[in-house]
Amino acid sequence: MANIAAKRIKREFKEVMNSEEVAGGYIKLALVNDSWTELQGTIVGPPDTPYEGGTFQLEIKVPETYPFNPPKIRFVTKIWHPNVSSVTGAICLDILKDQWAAALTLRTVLLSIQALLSAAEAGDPQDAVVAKQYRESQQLFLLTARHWTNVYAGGPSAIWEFDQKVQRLLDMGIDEHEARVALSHYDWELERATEQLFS
Amino acid sequence: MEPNKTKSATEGIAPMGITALHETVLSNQPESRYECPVCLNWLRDPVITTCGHKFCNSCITSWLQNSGHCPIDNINLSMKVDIFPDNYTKREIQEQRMSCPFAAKGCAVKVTPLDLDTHITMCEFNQPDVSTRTEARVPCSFHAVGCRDSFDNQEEMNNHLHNDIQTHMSYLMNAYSKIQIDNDISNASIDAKEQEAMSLWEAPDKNGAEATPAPLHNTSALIRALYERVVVLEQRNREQDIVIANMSKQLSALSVAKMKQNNDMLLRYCMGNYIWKIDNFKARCDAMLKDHFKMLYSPGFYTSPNGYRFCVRLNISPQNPLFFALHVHLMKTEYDDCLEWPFNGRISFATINQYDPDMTQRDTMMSNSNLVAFRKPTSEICVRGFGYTEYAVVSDVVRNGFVKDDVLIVRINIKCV
Repeated sequence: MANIAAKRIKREFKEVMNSEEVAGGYIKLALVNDSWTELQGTIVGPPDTPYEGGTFQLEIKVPETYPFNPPKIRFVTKIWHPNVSSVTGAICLDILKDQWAAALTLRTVLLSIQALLSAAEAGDPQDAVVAKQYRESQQLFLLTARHWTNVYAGGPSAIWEFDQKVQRLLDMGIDEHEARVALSHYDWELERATEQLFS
Repeated sequence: MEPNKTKSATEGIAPMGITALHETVLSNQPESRYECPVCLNWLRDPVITTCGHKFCNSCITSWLQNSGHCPIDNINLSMKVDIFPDNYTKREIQEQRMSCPFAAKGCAVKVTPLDLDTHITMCEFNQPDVSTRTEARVPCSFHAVGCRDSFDNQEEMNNHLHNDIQTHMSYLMNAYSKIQIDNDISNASIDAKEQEAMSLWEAPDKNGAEATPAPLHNTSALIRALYERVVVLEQRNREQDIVIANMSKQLSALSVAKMKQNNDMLLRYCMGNYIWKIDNFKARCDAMLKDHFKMLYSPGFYTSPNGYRFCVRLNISPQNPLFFALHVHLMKTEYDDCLEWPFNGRISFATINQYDPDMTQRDTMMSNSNLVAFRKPTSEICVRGFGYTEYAVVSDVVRNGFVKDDVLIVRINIKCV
């Protein structure tokens, strides 16, 4: 790993560890190996959002050319959000792409991702299905996001009706996550989801 | 550079167990006005942009190869017209002096922050701790064979080596003869021992007759004694093994008994507040639907440690097979004679909705002293129960979220009045 990248990550790691956000438990950062090329970030869902109470893991890969190129970050924890792929966890955030600036740090990037959870950008979606639901049936989107937060990120509020519908498909022998994805995609209409799963 | 600040910073990271961090890399942390926002290190050949930000020359050059904007505020920047050397900052940084992190080991060097990393790599004190250096005096090369002289420098030693050849020769001679003697002695004793061992192990064949020569008699007796000792110890070891096995058997029996006792305690000291968890509910329910005479009974629990003992019965209602019936039954206890009869009190059922606690079904009833159900029980479980013959619709219980992970939970609260 290039000297400047490793040196900078070490300093940034220290910056994050001493930050108020870590002290307050809002973000976390941990090393995955000794080479400083891969880290694991953690953010908590912001209050007054369907992600509240959830803990979301992020995979951070630091390129050789860091900080001249942005770090590669994706969600490891599954999340229902217009700017995050519900399949791969890829994040659509300008500062991770063309708007990256060398003065940004892992701390500011983690905080930006956390801010993205509070304010989705439906105009620039990563997951078209989620974005459509976000625009057209806001209420259903909020419930779905809360349900995913509950199931995958340890969020506090279970949506009983959704759990039951997933259970119905589970009883038919369908994989739990597949069932949840299908139901989420078809606005929790059991018939359409079943049709899609068996087509 | 404030030494205090950097110190607390390194300490902050220590609990994370990052041993790979070279501490000195971190102790060399610049103040923000001397820090390059790209490499987060001391500004090296600082330049300033038209938008007023400072960077290392090499950092901003690398950045602008791929981007046309300032890394901080995204304003358009051109390498040719917007970047100027900041000699003022350069001079300020060069005027800073930092002490070497190995100052505690004796390094007195003070360098500019930019040179610190280079100095650290070649600092003569940057070495693993050698336990207190031996005094500067050099011992004679013949130290190992007995020469006790030592010298301040190599030249004195050379003189000594030259002048004292005779002495050193005699030291060598002594050492050599000593080795020779040791060698002879050990050879001799090895031979003897070998012989002795042979005779010892052959001995039993010869009708117990002592074939060993007299001078070796003592050693062979010793070995024999030791061998007997080994046999005795092995025997004892075996006995201990048996004792341990017995004890661990007892221990596991004891822990089973303890668990059982714990359960009994729970039932006795629940103060009439019992939570009945029915696991495997689906299978049990199906069995009851198939055979209406099948009933589920809870363990008997007490309203107080020496109070009334009740159990709960859940079954398919005999009148209407679509419903569950739920009853309490009095049970015999050893102190029934000390209690007031008939039982008087309040009985509450709560069937817990495990998905939505607001939907929990709660029912409360008062005892009726005219009923047989509340008289002193004559059999282990009173034949007559008290409760609801149509407590809940069977299909509703399963469908409406009362059963989770195949467990139904009924809370019973019985209070004497």
